[in-house]
Amino acid sequence: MIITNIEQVPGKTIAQELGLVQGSTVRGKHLGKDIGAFFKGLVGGEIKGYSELLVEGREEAIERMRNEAVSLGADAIVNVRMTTSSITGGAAELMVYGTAVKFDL
Amino acid sequence: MSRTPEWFQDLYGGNTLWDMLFTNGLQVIGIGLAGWLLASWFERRHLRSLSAREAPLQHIRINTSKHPNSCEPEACTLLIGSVVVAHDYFRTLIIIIRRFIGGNISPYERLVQRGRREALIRLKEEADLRGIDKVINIRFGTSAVSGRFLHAIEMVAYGTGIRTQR
Repeated sequence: MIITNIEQVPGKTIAQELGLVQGSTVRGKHLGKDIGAFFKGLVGGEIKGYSELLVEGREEAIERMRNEAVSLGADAIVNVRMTTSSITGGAAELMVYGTAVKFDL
Repeated sequence: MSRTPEWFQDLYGGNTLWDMLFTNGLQVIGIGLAGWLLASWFERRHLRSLSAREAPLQHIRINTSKHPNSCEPEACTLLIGSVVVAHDYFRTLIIIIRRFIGGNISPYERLVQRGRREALIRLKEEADLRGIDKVINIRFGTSAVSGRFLHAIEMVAYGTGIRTQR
């Protein structure tokens, strides 16, 4: 499954657009990591606990989008966009969405 | 009113409220200042490491166009680089005060620029791992993520990596 940011996959022509596919997760870290983040906040800089949280969440969201595209019988997902937002204390929603397409053979 | 235990009095400076506020306030300001000094040191160190990591990745070209010219067929992958950054508490206090005045908040600008540079370097490092030398249609995102006790900012950079045809 090819996943890209651009509108056309080079070297292939799109025969059919199968529509919007999306994947989203809401992830929160457990209290221990939040308290660790509080102490890291004393010196600032990167908060590795949250970085990992969002990277894992993003991979999970991409996986869900890929599964939805596979169930539609797609060859690739183009024009992918992402959003992140803070939902509640300690949790963030990550969403990834794109257009599933089928190639000419 | 019951008496507080000995160890409590020693730590918090006495029975009366003024004593406690005075000692606690000094402790809090002391920790805040120490955090701020450490943060400044970390920031300088991070900027040096950013320059060091950027140098070997300069061969990877980045642009915002949507059209892959002269690209190997099907060799396009989504690349993502992201980082979550936050201020230390003393600087947060300074920023709250500066918000009342209005205008540019330069500590935040510096933090956000540092975070964006870091996200871009992570994207380039992943491109380098996959042998990709050109990233097109790059998009940036900034979002506020807050934990239970901390406000942080996430910087994302994502784009399509293509292998240019020989």
